[in-house]
Amino acid sequence: MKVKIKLVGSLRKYKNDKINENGEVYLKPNSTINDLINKIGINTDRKLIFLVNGKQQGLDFELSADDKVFILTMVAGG
Amino acid sequence: MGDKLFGYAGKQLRINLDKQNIMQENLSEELMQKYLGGSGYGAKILYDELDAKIDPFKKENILFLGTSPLTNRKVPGGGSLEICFKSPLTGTWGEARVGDEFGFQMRNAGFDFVIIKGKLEKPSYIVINDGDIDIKDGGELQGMSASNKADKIKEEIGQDFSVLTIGQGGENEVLYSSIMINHRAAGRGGAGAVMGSKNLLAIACKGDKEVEIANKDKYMESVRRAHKKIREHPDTKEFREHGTTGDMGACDASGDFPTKNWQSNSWGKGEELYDYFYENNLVDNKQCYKGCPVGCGRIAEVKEGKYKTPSHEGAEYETMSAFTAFVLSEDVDVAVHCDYLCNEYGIDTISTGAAIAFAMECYENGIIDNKDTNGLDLSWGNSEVLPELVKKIAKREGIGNLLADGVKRASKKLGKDSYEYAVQVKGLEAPAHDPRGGKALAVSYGTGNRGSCHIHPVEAMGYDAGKMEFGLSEFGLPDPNNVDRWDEEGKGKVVKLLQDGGTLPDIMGTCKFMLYVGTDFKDYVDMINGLTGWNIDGWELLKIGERAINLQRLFNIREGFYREDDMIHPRMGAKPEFGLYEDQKDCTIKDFANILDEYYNERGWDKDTGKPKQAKLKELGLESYI
Repeated sequence: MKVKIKLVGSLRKYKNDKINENGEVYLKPNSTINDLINKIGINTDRKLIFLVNGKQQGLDFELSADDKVFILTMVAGG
Repeated sequence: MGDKLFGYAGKQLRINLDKQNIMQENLSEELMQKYLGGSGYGAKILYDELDAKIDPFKKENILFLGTSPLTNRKVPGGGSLEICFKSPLTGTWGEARVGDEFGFQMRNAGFDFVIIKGKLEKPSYIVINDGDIDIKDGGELQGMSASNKADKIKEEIGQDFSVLTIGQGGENEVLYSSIMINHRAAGRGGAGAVMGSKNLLAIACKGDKEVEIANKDKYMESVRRAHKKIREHPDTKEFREHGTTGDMGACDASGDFPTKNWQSNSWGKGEELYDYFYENNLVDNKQCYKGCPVGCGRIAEVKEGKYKTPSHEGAEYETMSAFTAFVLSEDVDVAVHCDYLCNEYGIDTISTGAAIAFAMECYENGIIDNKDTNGLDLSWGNSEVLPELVKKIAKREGIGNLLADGVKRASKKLGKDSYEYAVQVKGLEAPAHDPRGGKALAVSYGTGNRGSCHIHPVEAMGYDAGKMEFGLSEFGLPDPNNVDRWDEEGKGKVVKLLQDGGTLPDIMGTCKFMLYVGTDFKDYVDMINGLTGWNIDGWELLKIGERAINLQRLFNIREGFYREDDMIHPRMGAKPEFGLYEDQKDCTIKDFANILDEYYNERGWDKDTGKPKQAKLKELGLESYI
């Protein structure tokens, strides 16, 4: 299955050939967010926030085909 | 308790501008233990010493400058000054924080607090030079920009003074004018207008006294521990490199990016706007005071072209969002230029951007036209008019005079449907964070004592969307990782505790952002105990926060603000009209009244009126205010 991902802010440095030009990643069925970030190779101590179709989810969340996944870090501002 | 008040300079300075009467008073340790400093002690002074319902521009209004024992260069975020006043914009409790060196200088001059009342006969400025206080003629300073005033004063009295100034915005009593220090702003609520109404153009301060510390070893151990946490925190380096502005992409993606005067909570362009800024405008990072372990401040410029702008401090997330997403402008250079203009005129960037967005929507809907704007085309995204409007607001010229009074008053004057476009709570224009991206923020906006502010008393979005717990989980805050940002149930409860903790930096005179990079309230408790020789714990510190919030609430109730004034503006909870969350049904606020009930219940406030109940006031030692 494929999911569409967007790496926000400084996480864009993890864009690589696992992500096609349309921002899509191909995964095995029943893959989780953890599988997704392992496939892309995101390796950071920073707290990551995962929004799947806008809804915040954890690492164990099971993805479905055509899900839209935003991966971002701390949301602050002033 | 002993005779010596460790950790404090030990005195408050009272300046009556009418009589040019100056008094120094010793501080009471009992009161300091109850209110600590900053906006906590400021709440007591304003409540006790201001008559109800005074006109904020009458000479009786107070300008309170507050520090705390933690106003100390070694304390992470310790370079903060808290300014309290009755707000001319909202008529409520007013406070604004600014980072820089002024607080250090005040304490080195021997004063933890400065309380200014009255009005000068002619424009002047105050010089606090150690224990010597002088009021000097400021006629030459009139009409100068905020930074030129500071430069001129330093030329005259010495470069080693720290100088607070107002710009033309404050002189013209723009209701959201700010007090400036080195392009940093005590921005929200109109402190600059209060200062201007007193004919007070600047306050310069320096000193060289040392504040005595009760237990230096204990203090330094807690300081070192906190600095180590910050050094090792994975977000510190990122914060230093990208500052708050670096969150434009993340806020946009998460639906926390009010766009087109709140018609949506996302735009899809936040990231490219920031990329442009990073590549073209960002010069460097900056510490707001020497010693800050993060240095999230920005130095920005526009190198060339029509909007060429000198290198200056600013261009934070809020400002850049206000002059891009709020008004649908993609011109980042113009936004940086407007930031510079607002700083020099001394007007709040958030309220200015919000007022312009309001005007654009009124223009689109025929409520104002070219005759009202003197021919300016206020179409969405027309970036060319933004600097013009900033100038008109600061000088109160034409349409600027209407907008200088804030969107709530402007909508009352304009009538028709304009209230629908006046996005504010209690009259304070809403900033660039959106409660449709996390519902806890709605409670913060509704119940904030100074109105809809994202960061006072706490940036609730940090909990809901950012999953930060600020060291409050051990005091009962539910784990944010188990909380859905779009849930409404439970948000009233969590915001009570987030506010009690989140207002503490305003009381302690510290920077809230230190809580994002590893420090927590226990670190600050240990620092306070080391500095003062007290033995308070985290619960007592939180109680100080709760006490301050309740006393500020009582101030507002005395001014006639009740439950109905805690309701958020309808736009803040409405379905986004476009953007990334257009089709997301959870991205609306369905029952804010119910969230408010939950919040009042947790607070011990009356559900119908929003007044703190007697039992709560007794619990907080505020029985004399019943």
